[in-house]
Amino acid sequence: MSFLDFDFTTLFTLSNLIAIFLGTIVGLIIGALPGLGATMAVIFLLPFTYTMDPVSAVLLLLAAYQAAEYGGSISAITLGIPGTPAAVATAQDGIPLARKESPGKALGISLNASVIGGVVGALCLIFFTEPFANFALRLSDPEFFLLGVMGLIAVASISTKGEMTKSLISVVLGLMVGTIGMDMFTGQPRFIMGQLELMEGLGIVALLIGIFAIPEILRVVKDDLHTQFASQASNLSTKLTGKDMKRIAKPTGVGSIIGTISGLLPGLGTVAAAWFSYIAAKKISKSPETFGKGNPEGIAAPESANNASVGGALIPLFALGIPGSVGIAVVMSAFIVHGIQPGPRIFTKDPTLTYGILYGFLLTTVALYIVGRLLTPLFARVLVVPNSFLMPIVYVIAIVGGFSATSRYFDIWLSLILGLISLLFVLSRFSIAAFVMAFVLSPVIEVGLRRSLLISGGSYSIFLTRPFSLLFLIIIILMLMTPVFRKLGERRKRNKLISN
Amino acid sequence: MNSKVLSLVLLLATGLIGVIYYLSTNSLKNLSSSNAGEMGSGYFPRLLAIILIVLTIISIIQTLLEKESEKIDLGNWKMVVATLILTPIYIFLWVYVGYFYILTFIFLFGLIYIYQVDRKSKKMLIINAITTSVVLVAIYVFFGILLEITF
Repeated sequence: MSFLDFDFTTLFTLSNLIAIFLGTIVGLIIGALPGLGATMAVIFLLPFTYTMDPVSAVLLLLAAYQAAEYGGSISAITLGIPGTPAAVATAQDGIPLARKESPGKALGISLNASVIGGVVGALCLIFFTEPFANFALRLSDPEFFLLGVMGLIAVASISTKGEMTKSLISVVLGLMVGTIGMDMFTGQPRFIMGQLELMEGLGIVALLIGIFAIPEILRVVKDDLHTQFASQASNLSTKLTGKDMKRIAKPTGVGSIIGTISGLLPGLGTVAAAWFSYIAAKKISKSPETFGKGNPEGIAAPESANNASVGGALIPLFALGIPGSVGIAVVMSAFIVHGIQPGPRIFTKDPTLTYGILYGFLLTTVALYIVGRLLTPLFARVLVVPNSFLMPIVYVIAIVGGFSATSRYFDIWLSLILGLISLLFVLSRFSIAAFVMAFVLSPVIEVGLRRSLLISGGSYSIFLTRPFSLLFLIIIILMLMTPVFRKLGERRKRNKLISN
Repeated sequence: MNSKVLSLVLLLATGLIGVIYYLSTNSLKNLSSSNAGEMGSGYFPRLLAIILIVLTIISIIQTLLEKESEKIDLGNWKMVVATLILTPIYIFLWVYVGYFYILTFIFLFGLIYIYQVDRKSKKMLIINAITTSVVLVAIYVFFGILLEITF
């Protein structure tokens, strides 16, 4: 089955459409709330997907992810506080433009650029994933093992705040937690500590709520509980003129391409995509001196990039089984919950589901435009709800949601204990993103390693004798050496300055 | 507490986890003899434990060599501690006593109450009660009716 043979009636079902619109609305709200972000939106909706059919479940999460990326710009523009880390780049010109002209215009540019970025990402996903997957079919276990390791090192090196070793420790801890449960090869229980609930491994929803949601909520309680927000809640119409659209066409195009490519590379994510495209847009702009002073191009580029990166990050998920970002790793867990293993064989194994998701992802951009046009003014007003009300609500819903996924009390305790431990690790700058990615990729990496060694009769030389394996291995070594080279470079510069 | 002390405490904990995890792999099959190269269920975990211990030692050395140590901003730590005390009580009562909706109402109302600066004002109490009720109805509709979850 090729992508042209897809039966679209299977996509336009009531449950899929409801999932897309519901995901978009929730994603917009959570993305717009400062401090929560796109991954949180996906985690928040994950418990609901257990009872849904797989296509609706994945589309619900993707719609939320896509919408949250735009939602981040609503608070960046109307409050001056970016709702997502990627929206920090948007705020550079979003805030001045909102003050100079109107918040509505800035939001309109953000919405249109986000939608175009989303469409470009979705089209790349539809057209390039299958050829990419066909190529990936030539790869085997040694390459998949190394690709998994490469993805983890990429996330670790980018999500760290100058402490690569701590991020690598986070990766190893994530992989270790991923080994809890029944061994896939022998069926032997591992590290279950006498708890039968752990036979199938740690519940993904309980784990995500514990290590991601609870520390994040507690961090807001610790740092921003009484922060007062003043929203610019007038002039919120997001309608743009033809002249405005013409002006943002070029940076939007550039942002969309950079965003898609950034999404493709595991670990880079939306933040890097937004900043790369902001810098690129400034370089190609006719008026670079107005960047940071309310130039619409400075909003269009990062906004198109962060949405395009969502589609880009889905390409390695479908083609290789390796998620391109932490948010997509959470989406991957919804696949796993439904017994689907993403990877190059998914196109032949489950074509209806695969193309349903790929085309459905395009629909999420349409939903984003409709919901964004209709509800942005409303969301901008909702933002003034104080954190002292909002955080307890999100906290309680996260706990209840964690329970509802499996109806096991064990999972609530697990979330709470993990939440406590994670809070301390976050304070000490360990990387939660690297941990999550490692946990999700743990089975891929273990299976890849053990099968590789089975093929080679226990010899690690298999990673050196296969051309692609060797290439990936060299890339991994270079990635690990980068911080060392950087430090050496900095030292040399410092020495030069001193000697001068 | 400063960041250096916290880092060292956590790194010692991860080191300990690595050792315990390594020792636990002794009870698992590490190498199977039936097929050459077939690794048992303990092989991968053992490898991870060794990597973790090595990384932890490196990180401990890096932390000890750090010249500067910043103080960790504890912010509203009292609220965090209060939340962390109230939550297990709430979950314990939910698991062992039941009455989920009543308990959740009290828990949510309590959290919002303690988070407010002017918590004793009558207006705030009314807004709190209304907000909590609305959230409870939403939980009942979404989780109780739509997802058919029995709490």
